[in-house]
Amino acid sequence: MSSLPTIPMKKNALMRFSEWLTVSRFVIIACALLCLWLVFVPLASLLYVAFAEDTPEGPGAFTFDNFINAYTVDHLWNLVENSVIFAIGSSALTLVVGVAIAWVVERTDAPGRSIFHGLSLIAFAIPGLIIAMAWALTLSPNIGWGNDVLKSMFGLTEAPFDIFTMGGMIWVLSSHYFPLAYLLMGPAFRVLDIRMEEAAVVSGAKNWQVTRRVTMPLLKPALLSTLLLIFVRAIESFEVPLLLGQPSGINVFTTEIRDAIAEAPPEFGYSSALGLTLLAICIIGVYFYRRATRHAEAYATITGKGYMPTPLRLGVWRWPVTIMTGLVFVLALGLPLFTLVWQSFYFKTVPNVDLIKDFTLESYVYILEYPVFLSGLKNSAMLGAMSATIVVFLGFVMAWIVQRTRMKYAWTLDAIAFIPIAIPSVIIGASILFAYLILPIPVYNTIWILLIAYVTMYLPYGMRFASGGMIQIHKELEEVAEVSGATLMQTFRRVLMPLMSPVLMAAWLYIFVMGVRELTASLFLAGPTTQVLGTISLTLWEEGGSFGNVAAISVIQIVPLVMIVGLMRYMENKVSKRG
Amino acid sequence: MFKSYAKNAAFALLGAGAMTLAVGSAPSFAADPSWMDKGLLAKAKKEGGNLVVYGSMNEREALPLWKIFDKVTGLKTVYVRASDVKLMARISVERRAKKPGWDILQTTAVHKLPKKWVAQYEPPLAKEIPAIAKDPNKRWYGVYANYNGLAYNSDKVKKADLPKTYDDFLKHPEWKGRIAIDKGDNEWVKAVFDHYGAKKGEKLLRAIKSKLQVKVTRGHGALARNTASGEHLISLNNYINLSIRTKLKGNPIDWWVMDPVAVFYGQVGISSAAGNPSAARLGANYLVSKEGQTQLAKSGRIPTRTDVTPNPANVLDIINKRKIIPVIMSGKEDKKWNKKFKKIFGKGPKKRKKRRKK
Repeated sequence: MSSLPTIPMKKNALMRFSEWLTVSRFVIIACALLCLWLVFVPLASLLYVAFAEDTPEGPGAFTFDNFINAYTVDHLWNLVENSVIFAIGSSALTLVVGVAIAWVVERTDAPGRSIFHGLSLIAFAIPGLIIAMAWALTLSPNIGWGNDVLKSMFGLTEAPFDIFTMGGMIWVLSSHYFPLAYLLMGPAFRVLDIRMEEAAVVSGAKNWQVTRRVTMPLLKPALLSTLLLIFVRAIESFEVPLLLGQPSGINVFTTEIRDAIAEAPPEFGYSSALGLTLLAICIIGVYFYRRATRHAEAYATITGKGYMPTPLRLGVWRWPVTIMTGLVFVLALGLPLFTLVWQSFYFKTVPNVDLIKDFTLESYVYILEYPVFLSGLKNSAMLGAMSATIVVFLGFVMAWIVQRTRMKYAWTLDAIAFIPIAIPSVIIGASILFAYLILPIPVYNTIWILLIAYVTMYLPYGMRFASGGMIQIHKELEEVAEVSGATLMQTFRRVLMPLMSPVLMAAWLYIFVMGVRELTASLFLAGPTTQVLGTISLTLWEEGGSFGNVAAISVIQIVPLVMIVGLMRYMENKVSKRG
Repeated sequence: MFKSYAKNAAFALLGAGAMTLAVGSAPSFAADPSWMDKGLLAKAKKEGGNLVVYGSMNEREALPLWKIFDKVTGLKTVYVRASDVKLMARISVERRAKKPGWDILQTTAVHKLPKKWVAQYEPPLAKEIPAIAKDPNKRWYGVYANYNGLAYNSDKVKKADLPKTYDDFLKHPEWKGRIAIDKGDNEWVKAVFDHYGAKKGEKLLRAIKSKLQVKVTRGHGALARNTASGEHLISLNNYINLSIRTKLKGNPIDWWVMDPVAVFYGQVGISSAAGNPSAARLGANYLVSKEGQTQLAKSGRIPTRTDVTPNPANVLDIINKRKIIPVIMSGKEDKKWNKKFKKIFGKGPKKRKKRRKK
């Protein structure tokens, strides 16, 4: 009898809970839990494996051996040295070129600015692996056609460029990333109030003084945040060091981690210990990035004046500036693309007019008949589409929780969703592999383990897009819907979704492109039947496929990506018109 | 008279039709190949009718090979291709996950796997394989021979200039930075040590490395391609069959041999945890059969069977003039000679220590 009173209490609690747990709340909680799972499970497995003895049957007893092994002073120093030089060099060069392009496109009246913007998007969409392959074929000291041309033009006996050097690596990564720097810096230039510079000029300041004392301080936060983000992206980059650094013995953290896991037997503990070092470097970078971005937002209040910036009139310099900018794109994008297209139709590595008659489609036929190509294409497209859909949905829901609910710790969701930006793809791939080898979740060797990795990696981008879009929409609209009796789902479906659809669509396309070009994490996770385009291309390169085949598979990937970029541009225009 | 002709013709047509149907639907009714074991095939079909092969052979060679097998047996083969090292890593990872995915491993490193991972089985046709090319403990059988030789870009290097001994390399400073070797060629290093003696062998290789700045690369297939393209002038060592294959495709590459010639084998082994054990046994028998090896010889693989003619036919005549050293290393020996390789040639694409000590 004494237990009777507790029954109605339990029932009430359960009832209260079931009343509280509406479909919408359930979705919100599920999304939040999913994010926590995605971010913390790989990190936990990385830590666990780093401190566990490496045995053929799995992680063993607690040990520090992996760290002792990995942190041999000389060895670690060599990796740190190469990684940091590569990252600093690449981020500095990327920033200089990216800022110059941003200035031309956003602040001047140089002709062709819209084309440069489109070309930047195309450059962003092309996989890093393909760019690295193209540069190896262009500026190899022995077979690069670029070197051959220069040698014959200037009567040189030695090749003037060697792409398999630290300098070559820095150039290739910068030529691939500068459009990203431009895309990041563009908005900062766009919102920069020219009246401040005009005021300085009126007050008698010279041009260099205006630049140093007005423009640069205003741009400083954006510059700093772009620099840090590019630094993190550079230190975690994998394809360029793999293809251009390793042949001449230049190893960085990412290539070392991959090698350790591709060894027989795989050195999981060692690679985890190294991975933690790389992660620490990236976290420091992202911490400062977040700080810099916070300042940037403060500066962005300058924008709330509703004005149209007047472009700087270049006068006689209009065309020279356009030509110079065009040359940058010809060098950074045109040369590698030309190399790939040529190589895909010809067997000879050096383009020559006399060889035009040797045109052949054999490489394309080979690729189309290549046994895993079609399944790889399907896997990449599916993974791109699935990850984009999930990330956009998660980003949308979480951005809503963060911005619209009064939950006390809602901001932590934003922070959690941002964590993967600090985790290099190589670590995401390796740690997800470790995690799902330990956990009794049967995803190993399936497409689902790749999907988990992709969603984790792109979560921050989905969140950024959705947050940015939601800020534009005033809460009043949702309140009106609520007052009119709409449920939360109806408000989502009929008010928020239609208004945010251009932003969400742009986010979807952006993430789809990143998914299709993904390589690094997939290298650890792709199984016999789940190869993706990136892993197939790399296998062709590493295992002795002909250069023609490698070029053909690259061109086949680039064409649809360029078309998607066209679609992105269209969505971008739609969003900006609405804004 | 006409009626009887018509009747005979009708029977003949029916017979032809029936034969066509029989051949089409159940190819085993045709003259069975030497490797066929109908009892094993029936079991394989009961087990699901699948076969998973992990192999390091290029798909262009491996897929036609397994297509013949599938056509004759009606089984479905999934071929997973990667380099030796990557396959070994994958197998180790799968072992950790307790999800072994392979039935047959067809690579040069079967003997390096832990013994309990590989089943002991002797395919009936393995008796035709010479004793040197098979494991006395019945865990692996040689499918093709990987003779190690040198290769050169035939557009850029004159045949007359080719060294006759490894010492001759030191007379060619003009090749500095243009000679390459794969990072996994520890078998070759062992053969050189065996031939010259440890002290002299090491001194010689170190001299070649330092004077000619030999590049250490990754992937034997890529090494053959890059030598043919002119990225490297000479492969200090590569698998002769890969050089032949690249040459057969019309590329400017040729090969030659000097003392010693290291040889090891592309082997077949069956997983002790095979999901399709009967299909695996049948597949292993196919790989050591005359038919299987004849197919492989078309693309330049050098067969282990003596009754299969290699392509080109004189390849063994050339090789056999040299001192041949078979190298079959255990996992432990493999590690030891890997270290030795790295000590002499540097870590190449892998770790580089002590660069800062200067």
